[in-house]
Amino acid sequence: MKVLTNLADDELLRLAGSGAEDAFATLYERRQAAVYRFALQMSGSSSIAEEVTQDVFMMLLRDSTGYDVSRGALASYLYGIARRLVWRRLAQSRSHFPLAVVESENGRTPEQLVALPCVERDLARDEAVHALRRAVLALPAGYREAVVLCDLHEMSYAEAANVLGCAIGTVRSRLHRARALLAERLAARTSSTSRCLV
Amino acid sequence: MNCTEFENVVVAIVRDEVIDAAAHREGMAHADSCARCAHRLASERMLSDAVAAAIADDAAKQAPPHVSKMLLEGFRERRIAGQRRRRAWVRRSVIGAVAAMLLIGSALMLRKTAEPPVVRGAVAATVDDEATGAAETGDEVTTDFIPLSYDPAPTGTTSVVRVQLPREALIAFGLPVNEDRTEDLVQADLLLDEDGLTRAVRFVE
Repeated sequence: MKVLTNLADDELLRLAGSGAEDAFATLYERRQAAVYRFALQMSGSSSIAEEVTQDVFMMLLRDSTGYDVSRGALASYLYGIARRLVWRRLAQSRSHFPLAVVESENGRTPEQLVALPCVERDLARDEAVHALRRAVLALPAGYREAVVLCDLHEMSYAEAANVLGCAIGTVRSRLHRARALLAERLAARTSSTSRCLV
Repeated sequence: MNCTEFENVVVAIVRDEVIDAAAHREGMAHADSCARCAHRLASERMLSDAVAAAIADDAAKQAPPHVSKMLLEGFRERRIAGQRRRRAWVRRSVIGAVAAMLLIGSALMLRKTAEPPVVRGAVAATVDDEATGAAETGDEVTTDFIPLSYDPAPTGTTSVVRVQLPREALIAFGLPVNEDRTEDLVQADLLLDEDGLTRAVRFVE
């Protein structure tokens, strides 16, 4: 296992394709969290994120030859599959409710939140994150993808363009517009909160 | 720098992207002098803070363990199915190869048995044909084949060979012989079996 962790993704995939379970487990452990988080941030639903993560790796199992190393990193390939699956799931369940947003208080009850030290600061931070998640989920599809990949997953424009299959300039302009919308909504929330406090 | 130009660089400034140092400096100077752009810069910074907090919150999030368990079970099932397919393929290949060998062997055997008899048989057959032809045309008169042994009738390939024997050989079979011509030769057909043993004889006049 120690040796496998030093191998590149495509080498692990090759070994997994030839039946090496350890190689597949290593590849899964290395990449599953990013895929899960991407699906969660895109859908706002932990159940969709679980299903998408499972399906992404099942697809990789079924057709390990679908990945072409010359077209980019395996991580980008996995994001690309996850992206398609997320949109498919969301289309299937149009009436979904973003459960993860509701769950995003890290499972704390209001009483527990009050009992925390520096409660105001933590509360403000949590509220900001909560508001950000809601605002991201409310963005149009292309903008949401740009924010999730470039900001929440800290990808470069080139990497995001590879995942989305579009030009770098397109990613840049989508991110710019998306951030302007998000900033506007967060600012509006802050000002409304301030008015309430006053 | 005006407000439109500032809008073009504000995201790059807040996200610490690599931009021209002069553009960065001018952008910050513009924000200092423009209340609207200063507010825009502040809201972008607030957004970046929220993004950083969300990244920190999400850092530990990952798929639950049962997903990994299901995937590994799926992996094993696929591997076993693959092994079964490979075994079935090998089995089919072996069966096919054996069947092909049997077919080729059978074809060779049939070809061998269909080949004309050995040289001796060929010569004998020729002689036989000649003898038969003579009998049919009535030029020759032959006796019946007289068995030379008590063995059952030969079952394999037989051949007939024309030979000449002293006329006194007729006496041994109880046939009438002119005593004046005992020194003469008489034609006879020998019936030979596969082993080359003489099974019967007939005399030709």
